[in-house]
Amino acid sequence: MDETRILLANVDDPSQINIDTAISKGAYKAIEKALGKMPPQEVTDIVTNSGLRGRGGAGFVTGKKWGFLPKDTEIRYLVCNCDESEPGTFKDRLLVEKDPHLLIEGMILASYAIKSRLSFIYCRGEYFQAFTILQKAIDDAKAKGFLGENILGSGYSLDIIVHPGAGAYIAGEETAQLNSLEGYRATPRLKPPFPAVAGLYSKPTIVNNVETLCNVVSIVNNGAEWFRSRGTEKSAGTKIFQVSGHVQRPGCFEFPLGTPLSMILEAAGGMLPGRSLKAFYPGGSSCSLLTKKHIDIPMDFESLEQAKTALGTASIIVMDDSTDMVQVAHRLMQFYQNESCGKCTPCREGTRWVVQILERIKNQKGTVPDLKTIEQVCKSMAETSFCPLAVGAAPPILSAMREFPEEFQKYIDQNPAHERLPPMRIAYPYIDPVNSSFYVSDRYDR
Amino acid sequence: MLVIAMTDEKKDVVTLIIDGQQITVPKGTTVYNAAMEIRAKIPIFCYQDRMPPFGACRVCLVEVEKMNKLQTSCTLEATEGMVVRTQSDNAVAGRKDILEFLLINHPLDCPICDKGGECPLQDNTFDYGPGISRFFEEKRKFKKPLPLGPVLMLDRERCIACARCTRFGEHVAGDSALVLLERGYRTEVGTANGGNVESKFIGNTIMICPVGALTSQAYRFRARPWDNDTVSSTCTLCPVGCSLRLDCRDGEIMRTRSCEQKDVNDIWLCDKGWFGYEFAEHENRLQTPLIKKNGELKEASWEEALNVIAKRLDLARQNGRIAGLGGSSLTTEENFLFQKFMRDCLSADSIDYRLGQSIIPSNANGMDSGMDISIGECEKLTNFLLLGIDITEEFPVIWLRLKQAMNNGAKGTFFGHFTPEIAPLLENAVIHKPGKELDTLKAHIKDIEESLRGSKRSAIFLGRQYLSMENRAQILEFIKALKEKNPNLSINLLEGSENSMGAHFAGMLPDIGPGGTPLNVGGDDAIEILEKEWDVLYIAGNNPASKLPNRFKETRKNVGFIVVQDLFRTPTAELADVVLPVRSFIEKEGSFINIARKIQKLKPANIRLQNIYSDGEIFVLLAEKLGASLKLDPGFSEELKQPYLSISQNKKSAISHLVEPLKDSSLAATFAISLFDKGQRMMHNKGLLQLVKEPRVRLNNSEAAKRGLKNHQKAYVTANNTTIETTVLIDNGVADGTLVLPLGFDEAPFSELNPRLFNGFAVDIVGKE
Repeated sequence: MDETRILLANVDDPSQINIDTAISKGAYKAIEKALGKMPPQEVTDIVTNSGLRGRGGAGFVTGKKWGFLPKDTEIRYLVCNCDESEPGTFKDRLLVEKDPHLLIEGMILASYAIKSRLSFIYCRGEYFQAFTILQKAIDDAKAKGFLGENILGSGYSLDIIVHPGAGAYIAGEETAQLNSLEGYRATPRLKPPFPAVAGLYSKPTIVNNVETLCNVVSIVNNGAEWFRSRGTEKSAGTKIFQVSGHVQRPGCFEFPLGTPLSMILEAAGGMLPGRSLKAFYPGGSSCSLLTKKHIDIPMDFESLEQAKTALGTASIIVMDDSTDMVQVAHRLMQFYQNESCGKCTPCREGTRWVVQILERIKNQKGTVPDLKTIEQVCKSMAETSFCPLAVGAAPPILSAMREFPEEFQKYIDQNPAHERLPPMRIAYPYIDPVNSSFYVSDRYDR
Repeated sequence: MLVIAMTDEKKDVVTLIIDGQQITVPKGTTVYNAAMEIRAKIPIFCYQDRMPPFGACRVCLVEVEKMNKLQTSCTLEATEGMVVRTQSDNAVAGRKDILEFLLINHPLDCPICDKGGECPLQDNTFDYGPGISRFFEEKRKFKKPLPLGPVLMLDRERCIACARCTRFGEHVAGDSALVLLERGYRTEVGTANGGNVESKFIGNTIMICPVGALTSQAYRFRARPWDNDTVSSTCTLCPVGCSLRLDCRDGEIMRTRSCEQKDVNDIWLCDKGWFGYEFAEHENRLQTPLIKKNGELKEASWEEALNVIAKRLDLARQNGRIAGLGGSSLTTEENFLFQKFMRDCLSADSIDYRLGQSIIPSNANGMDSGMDISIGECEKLTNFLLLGIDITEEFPVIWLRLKQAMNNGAKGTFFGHFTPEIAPLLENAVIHKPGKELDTLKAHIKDIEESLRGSKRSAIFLGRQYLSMENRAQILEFIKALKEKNPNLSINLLEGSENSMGAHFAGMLPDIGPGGTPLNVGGDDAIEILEKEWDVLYIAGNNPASKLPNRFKETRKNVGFIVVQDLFRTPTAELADVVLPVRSFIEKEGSFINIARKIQKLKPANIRLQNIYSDGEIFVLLAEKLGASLKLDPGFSEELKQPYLSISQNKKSAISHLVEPLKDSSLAATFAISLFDKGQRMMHNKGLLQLVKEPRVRLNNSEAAKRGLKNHQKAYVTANNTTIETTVLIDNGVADGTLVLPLGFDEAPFSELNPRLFNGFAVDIVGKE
């Protein structure tokens, strides 16, 4: 089956980043249709009726989120979450680098719907090119009168600010992102109050993903019914699936939600020659993996939830039969260890601890109780952490251990002393027994 | 960032069930605080009840019905019908897990850690911890210890990243002195610029640190908490008079700590309170009386010294040529005894404690200094004006209470001669040339009245920039007029030093007797005393030779005999005929009257101290030798037993011009007080002394450019025919036409330019070639 390209319709044209090309292909039609002609509430209603669910991972109904804003406040903000850092996720990058005006148009519509007069794009720090392209696109849109004072004579005014992040996965969490945007450390905030009540600078704020906002354009252009005609009942519309890993042609593929995984893999050219599918993470790394028996699972929110995993960002990380699952678990936990913001105890200490155990297992120093410890630490971490980061750090490791216990056991068996507890290495005295000097890593030396 | 609004109106209540007990609490109460009402046992680390809930350490987990995860009780708001279990298996297991997590990277070095014995992590591990660990890996290591300036020491390995210290800087002190660096398991505490910590309140972070990560360099490795004898007393190092605890071990002072006092300092202290005790143990402390023989001070016995003094006093009192200079470090009782000794035994009227402070004739000061509201009430203000007060330098702990009010939504505005460091936190800071106070207030009257109108509780705090002005009385008239329109407004005059309120009440003034009674016949004030001839000049707790070196040299020539009572061989002591050692505030008993007229009690720490009397005891002994019996008046002692002084502010008539009017082109001077100056006791505090910044005269860029002055350039400051060499600091927070002169430094005795310490006099500054 061929892709259904709606969001990705124009990404193959290198000149699409020019505003004139974009306009010639129909960009900014939706704002002509909506601004000043539909009341903001109507735009919200169309989006609600379309059943559009957030594309950033949680899958919350977008129109409903907009409806949480208090009615009587004057200042509201829209923040576009373009801090795409989930392992295996690269759809927002394609959208903003290849078709930035789609996002800007979507943001104008969303800002109009929620009555924001100043909106922000929090752009991932490493997306240097995207940042430049977005900035130029905004300047061009301003020159054409799509942004700024009194847009197209509608009486509605809006400015968009692009803000580069500083390189932290946690800044993708919406409250951490707001802290970062305000100039503080990117650490999650206490909820309640939720951002819709007190977000950026304590003002009501909506945070939406890039892909979510891009979807708003075609919804306003074609109507809610049109949007609902694709996808499943509870997962309407198309979705950009990102396939990475052991496939022939990794990349972004747009299909209606509910498309079976096998079809998406086919679009990605299938497995590498001579290899077969072993397992895959269906929604980025922060979910449980599925195995080859799920090859035909419909890729939508509800089916994956039923399979005890999540659609997340629809980033399919494909692993073939050559994959070492202990290596996978170790690498992923290393990612969470490095990206933990350090605010709450379980995530700060737990991710590090599991990495240390997995490292030991990999180095053939594993012992019998280690797997139990990993399991308990992961569960406790997910149960008690402050924000979803640690909640997402546990399932990829736990599911790998659940599905492939023999691979972990094999490493442990390689340790001849695996039935004895390892010696406890307490960091005292401070003297390194070999060099009789301070044992201090350079990294922390000041 | 997030501000949790607090209301004191108990509109609504909610009823919930905790551990099977029904409990009703005001709406907005957290589950943790509700659980404390029934004395449930829940450990905490990151939660500190003076700061908003944070929810980071996760140790206060409880189980709540209908919630699928364990909840942190410190962040969860109690709601109607909630069912909470603090001791369920799940909750207990969750807390055990968190403690295990906290301990995996915490060095278990309790035997060599200063926090041992008073460590929440130790206590909570004992009460709630798992007892064993499953952790076999390598612990996190840091080079240690890391000094963060001269008073604070950081052991990063012990830090559990509860962020109490960084949130203290953000929410309580407003200086964000400490910040979290790095992230994840590499998270560590440090300063934003990697240098020394810049704060006036950093001692508090040592107190609230729940582990031994932040320790005091002065106290480190000196004692175990269970070995310390603790006495509750009062800090007398500034007019706030905070309650503190004195910890002694084997007769030596080990440390000072704050003591909760809602009406004054809450649970906080400034760094002078935290570290300002080291002088007491300094090797330079005077141990015996000294008598000048052949031009040199020689050690002598008390008997000998007191006899010499008594003889001279006896001779001198026949013709009444005796004067007394007191100081604000004496207790109220000692001040009373001093003035009684001078007036009744020696028939001397010329007594004054105000040398080093503004000298305003007390019959014409417009209003007496002091506060209308208690310091605790500052937290409840909804609006305040700071008029000419550098609050963090002069009354540091009052700022902490005002900051708390600001956290709850209060607005603050500043008017004055130079921008205070807290200006970024205020609504507005207006700076103007000294002398333009009324003009500036009048120009902003609309804004001021507007802000007062909408405010439930307002206060005006006037400081020395406004009060030590020739037009003080007119400014006060203006403020009184505002008060008449706004009954919710309180007027607070923040001026003075240490126990000056007590000295005033005791009548240590030429024209005021005990209890604040004006006298008909007055003596000479402090400056006049220095200018006249005397047979005996009696100085207790003051150091004129540092403040006014040139004048005091002249004075020495005109005075037959000088007695000095002090802790150290000060420059004044060097010029004296007899020097008597005295007890410091941590070694004596008495009363301290703070700026809000609260009577705070001093109690001696359990210190081994031989052969040293307090100032008061010396006056009694001398009176005995002169055949008199010196005692406190019963009425006076009775008054000091009250919690607050009952005398009210006298509203008086205007005064005439005290300073020559300025020519517009000349610079106007204003004096500035520093919290960390080079007073005698500061000089003998090893740690604090390193926090002292070099004294520099400050002016803004355009004024400096007009005079061709560069930053850090040497220059001469001239006024009233006196010239002092100094260094220039260009500071654009200073108003146009203004020169800021620092007080409290021996090397730059700017008091000489205007000994009565009035602001607004004309001053010249010329660069040194």
